Order: sequence, then C-alpha cells, then structure tokens
Amino acid sequence: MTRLALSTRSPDGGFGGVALSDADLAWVEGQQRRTLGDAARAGLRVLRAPSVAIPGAVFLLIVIGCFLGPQLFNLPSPNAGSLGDTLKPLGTPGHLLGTNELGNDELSRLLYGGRVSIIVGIGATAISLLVGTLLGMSACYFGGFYEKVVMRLFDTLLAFPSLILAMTIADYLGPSLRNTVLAISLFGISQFGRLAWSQTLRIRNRDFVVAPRADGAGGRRIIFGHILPNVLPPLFGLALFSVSTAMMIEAGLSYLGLGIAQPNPSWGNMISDGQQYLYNAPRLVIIPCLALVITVVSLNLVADAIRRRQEARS
Amino acid sequence: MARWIIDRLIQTIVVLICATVLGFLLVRLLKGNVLYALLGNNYTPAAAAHLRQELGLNKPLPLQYLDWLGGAVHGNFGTSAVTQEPVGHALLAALGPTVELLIGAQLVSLALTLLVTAASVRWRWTDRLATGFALLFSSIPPFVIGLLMIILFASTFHLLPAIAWASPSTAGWGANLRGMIMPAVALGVSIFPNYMRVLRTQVNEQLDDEEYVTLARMKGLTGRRVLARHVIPNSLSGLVTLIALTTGLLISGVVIVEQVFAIPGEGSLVYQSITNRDANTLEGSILLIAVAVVLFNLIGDLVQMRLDPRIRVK
Repeated sequence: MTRLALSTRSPDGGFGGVALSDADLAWVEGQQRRTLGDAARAGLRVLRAPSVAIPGAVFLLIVIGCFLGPQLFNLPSPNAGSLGDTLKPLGTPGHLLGTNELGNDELSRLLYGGRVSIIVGIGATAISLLVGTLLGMSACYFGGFYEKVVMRLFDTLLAFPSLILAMTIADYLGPSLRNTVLAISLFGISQFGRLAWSQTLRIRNRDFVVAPRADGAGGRRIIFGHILPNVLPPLFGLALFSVSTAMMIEAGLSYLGLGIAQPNPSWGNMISDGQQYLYNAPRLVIIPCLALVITVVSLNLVADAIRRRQEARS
Repeated sequence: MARWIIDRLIQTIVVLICATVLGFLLVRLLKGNVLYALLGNNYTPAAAAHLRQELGLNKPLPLQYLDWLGGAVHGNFGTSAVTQEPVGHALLAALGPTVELLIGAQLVSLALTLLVTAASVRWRWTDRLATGFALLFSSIPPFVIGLLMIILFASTFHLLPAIAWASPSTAGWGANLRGMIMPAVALGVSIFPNYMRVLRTQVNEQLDDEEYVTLARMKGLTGRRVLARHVIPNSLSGLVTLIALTTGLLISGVVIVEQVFAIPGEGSLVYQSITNRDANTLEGSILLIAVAVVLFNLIGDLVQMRLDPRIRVK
C-alpha cells in the first residue's frame, strides 16, 4: 500500500494530490519497510550490473570447473599417481599442469582442492551467517540479560585471534573437511552477530516492527517476517567478503597442516607440499597460489561492487 | 571521563577473563596425553598417577583454572611440558622477533599508504591503479605473498636470503634486518589496502567538503603544502585507530608468516605449542595475545578521542 502511494508522487512532493512537506516525506520514507519479496527482487537487480556480473561469472566458472571439470576432462584421480611419473613439467601429454613429487596429476589435484576450498568457504559462511544473524537479531529484539550475555560472547570471540581459535579447534577435532568448516565458522559468528545486532537496533522501534504485535504476531514472526528482510542487505555484503576470508583461512590452516589432511588435496596443503621444491619446481607452489588468488579476487570484486552500489543508493 | 575509563577497564577485564577461560577450555580439550610426553620411556601407570597428582591434573577444572590464574597474576605461568623451561622465559624470548616483525609491517604499510595517497591525490590515474592493486593485495593471504616473494627474490634473482632469521645479539643488526625485509613487506602489503581505503576516503572528504581547504588555497598555499600541513593531519584520526585495531588482526597473519620464514616468534611458539600439546605455553601465549589485542583496541579508542575532539565522551 505504501509503495503505490509513493509512486504516484506529484513533482511537488505530495502524493495523490496531497501536498507533503519535506519532513513528512522523509518520515514516511524512513518508515518504509521491505518485504522478503522486495529483498529478493533487489538482489536479482544487483546481479545485472556488469561490475558485479563479470567477476561473478569468473567465480561461477571456477566453481563449475572444480565440480564438473574432473568428469568432463577425464582427469586421473588426484591420488593415483606413481613415483615413476614424479615431477613432470608443464605440458606433459596427459598431465596438463605436470605432476607433483608423488606422481599425482597437478590439474586434477588443483580441481579437487578447489572443491574443498569452495565447500569450506561457502559452508563456514553459511553456518556463521545463520547462527550469527539469529543470535544478533534475537539479542537486540529481546534485550535484557540475554542481550548482554550474547554481546559479551561476541566481544570475546572477536578479541581472540581468529586463527589461533581455528587452529586449536581444528587440531582438537582432527583434520577433516567438516571440522575445518566448523572451526572457521566460529569467528564469523561474532562478525555477523554484531552486524545483525546493530542493524536490528536501527529498526526495532519502527512502526512496522512494533505494529504487528497488535495483530497478535509473536517474536518469531516479527523477527523473520519484518526484521529480517530489512537487515539483509549489509549482511549479504558481509557474507560475500566472508566467503573469501574463509577460503583464505582454510588455505592457511591447511598450509600449517591443521586443515585438510593428506592425501586429500587442498590448495593450502598443496602449497606447503610444494614448498620443499621451491627452487627446482616452483610451479608446484605458484599454481595453487594463483588459483587461490584468482578465486578470492573475483569474489572480492563481486563483494566490492555490491557494496559500492549499496553505498551509492543509500 | 573517569567514569568511562573505569567502565572500559571493567569491560576489558571481563573480556580478558572470558578469553583466558576459553583458552583454558581449548587447551584442556587438546587430545594427547602430556604425561606420555613427560615420562617417555619411563611410563608406568603408577608413575603417571604420581605425576598427575604432582601437576595438579586430577583437580576439578575450575580449581585448575583458578590455580593458573593465581600464578599468572604473579607472572608465573608454569613450566612447559616439552622444554622444561618456565613459560615466562619462552614468551619473553619469542616476543622480540614478533614485535620487530609487527613494527616492520606497520612501517611498510604506512609508508606505502602515504606514498600512494599522495600520488593519487595529484594524479588521477594513480588513484585507479592504486585502488586496483589494493583490492588485489587484500585478496592475497600474507603467506602467499611471502612465498611468491621468496620465489621471486631468493630463488630467481638471489637478492635476499629466504630463511635468514638472525638474532641481532649474535649476528648483528645488519643480518637481522636483511632477514626481516621480506616477511615485513609480505605482512605490510597485506594490510596496506585497509589503510589506503580509510585514508583515501578521509582525504577526499577533506578536499571536497571542508572549507579550510578552500581558504588555504585562497591564501595562496600550493597543493603539496595544503596536503601536508592541513589535510593529512586532519585525516589521521581514523587511520590511527585503524593502526591500533589492525595490530590485533596482524597477529593472526604473523602466525603463518613466521612459519614460512622460520622466525622464532610468538606465532611459531603458539603453533608449536598446539602441535606439541604443550598446554602451559599455549595458555600463556593466549593470555599474552589477548592482552595485546585488547590493549591495542583501548589505545586506538583513546587516541581517536584525543585526536578528534568531536568524539569526546560527555
């Protein structure tokens, strides 16, 4: 209803024949709320801009390449090499990127490693997004002692250097894909939580949040139906940055030997394995580094472009 | 003002206690029996039980934590199970290289930031190039930058030694600084994008919006004078806070970079204590790092309040 009324605004600022002063207009627009449908439509519109679409396409290409590539190109298994093929250079027939010290095909290891990195990045972000947003929104909405406890929890997690937390948890749980995802998601929870908290703080006294209580709406309905669509935009921007950060942390953890264990490839442990051959076969280090950089850069470009559009619009 | 300081101090202590409790729990969760490590070949159940009682490991957890806390307040962090030396000594010895690395990284990134900002204010194309590079460097984890630098400078061009940590007391400052160049640059380059973003926004805001810039130009000051004398000092407040906050973030990066360049600093100490299941050292270093991070955040806030009179607490 409010949307239609504003769209028939006459040039002098009133709508439908009623002249509104600037202050009134600002008040009305400030009360403007977004529904989930609005949020979805805005999201799709953002994807059409070339500054978002081009790096986004690169990233999608990488994802598709990692998940479908090995089947499409009939690559050998990442751990199926023999020592007779050790350290073959680039361009060997059958091994496009050469082989590593155990004779495993580099390209295959690269793509399988990419799968791991992407899964960890998206998985860790998804978990921290869900848990952090829920905690942050509910803490701000319900307030009181619950809010104090949750905020102290976030502060503690933030004061703790994220990598050390992730290292200890990964070491405790043992190196595996699932445990790496869990360890990395812990830090993101406090980031998403604080952002969700501050955004909810901004709108928790607005009419469209308070009014549904008269309808009999309970806390859960208000949080999911009314608060969530309005706090979503900045959270989405943070989520994209978070995916690339999670990928970098995973690479660091695997490099230290605390993430994905051998013989499963991950860009991080490929780098640490290749480090011994830094002088005679630097491509073993350069190739996974390049893969990591290109993926993270494309994601950051998308995130940056979206953030710029949000800032330009607000 | 005094009330704010007391408030802040209480918050700091609460966060520190929470961080150390979290660290304590994590450390106790580390699998692996420290008793095996200590007794080695002399392991018998009786000896293990005796040692357990001696070390106080059979007391309930909260009591163990309070014991540790009591000791920590007096500066006694216990003995490392692995090296049999007091943890305090190990922490102090490892502090030097890490502090040197942190200072070096901050200097490098500040120098880069000021240079690039000055250039980009003068020539527009530098601005765009710099923003592009900044995005690129913020997407590359510091250990990847370090490894690529090793490949470039050490392996290909033989300019700088790769693994060349030399203690200044034994090998002199020349060798020490020579070994520190690459790790400091690797870390500095990874954080310089954040600084540049903030400084650039501030400087542009000052140049576009502030009246004193126009007044200075009307008085006849040339571009560089205006920049150096008026604009940059006013833009520094946000940057100074960021410097303090980033030091906390740098600590995570330091852990991996120290592994890449084999520097015996706090980061290496943490990593080794995690993999060696050395609970006392890990606990002590977690406390040290948490204190450092919280302290730097506090300093950042205080400095910002001092520099920018608009943010004073009422």
